[in-house]
Amino acid sequence: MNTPEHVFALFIEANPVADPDQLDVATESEGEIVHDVERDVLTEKRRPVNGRGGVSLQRGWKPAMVAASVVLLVGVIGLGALVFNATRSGPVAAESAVMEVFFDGEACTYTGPTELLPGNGVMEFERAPGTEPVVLYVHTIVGDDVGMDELLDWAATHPARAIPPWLGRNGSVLLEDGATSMRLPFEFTEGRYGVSCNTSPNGTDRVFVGAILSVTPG
Amino acid sequence: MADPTTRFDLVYDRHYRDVLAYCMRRTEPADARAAANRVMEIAWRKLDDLPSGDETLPWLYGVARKVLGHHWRGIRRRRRLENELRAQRGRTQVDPGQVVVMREELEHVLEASALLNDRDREILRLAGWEGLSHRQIADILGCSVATVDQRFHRAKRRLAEKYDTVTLARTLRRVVGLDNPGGAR
Repeated sequence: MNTPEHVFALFIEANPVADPDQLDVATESEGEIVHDVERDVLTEKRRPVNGRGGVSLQRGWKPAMVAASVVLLVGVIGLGALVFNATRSGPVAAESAVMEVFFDGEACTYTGPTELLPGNGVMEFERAPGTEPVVLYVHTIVGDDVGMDELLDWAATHPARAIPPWLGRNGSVLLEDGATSMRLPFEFTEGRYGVSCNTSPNGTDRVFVGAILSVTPG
Repeated sequence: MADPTTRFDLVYDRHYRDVLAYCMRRTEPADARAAANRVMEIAWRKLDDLPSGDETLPWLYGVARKVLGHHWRGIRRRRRLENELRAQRGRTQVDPGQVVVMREELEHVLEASALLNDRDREILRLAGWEGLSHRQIADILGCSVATVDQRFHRAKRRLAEKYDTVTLARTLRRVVGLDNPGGAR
């Protein structure tokens, strides 16, 4: 048998990117998204963007572009209103809402209405067989300026066991050992809620954001 | 203290390649670039939380780990199961002018690592490929150094076991002619 040290030495040698300095970080030849930093002319604040360098507004073009944007915006709003009115179903009563959350080991997927009326609902939580122990959390979101971006950023950066001040824990259910599904009864009052799946026994190792639910009086 | 723009530029210049390399070791090149971009976006928005000095890069690795877990989860999982070895080989050709001939035992060790669970594989990568200390790995994984010591020791042992299994399987396949390109199909 090979010793662990010998095999680990081979593993180190097999590093597919042994020297990061060899990486070409400037090319966009294969259509890949590369990092760039553009100057935002409106705020004069430098910020990173994705994509092919983003769109840089030139001052001479600004008035024309603003005018075109206004026309386009009006059109989009009008079209959006038509579509919205044609398809809008409105908030669903929490008592009758079918809310399901599924964790497959890599994603926390919420299926169900995202707009609810206040009331007592039940969330069905299921995980794929063989996945690690996982907790379903329903957090109250405090603050109107917190959206999906903030939740995703939190999930990507939060240190273990740190819950941001704009999240309150309201309900949770743990799937571990042989359990693959459970139900979480929950009282939805007016406000917004973040739904997430958190792995590890204490539920704070990795956060997988599922959805934001909005509860309004109707 | 440097203004935010200058600080971000420094972080970007010093660490973007390392973050990109981290991502490229774990996913397809195109996804890796997008993931690395996302990491730098988050670094920009979370600049106040970004630790300085030696702690910066592990922090970025920690973000990259979670970004890869979130944004490429479904695709990544399928690709990983289907193509991990092929992708690993492809990623060795970082320099197109250089033909990398991978030694058989390196193929075996990569195949063996693909058989490990995610946690074992990640701790081996962080230690072996990113060259991080156990303290830094503990920060990334959100556990104690003692836990990292223990997990690392076990992961190395499991890798060696898988390596022996892979080597034996390859040998047997060769003996019975399954790996012979000229053999019967």
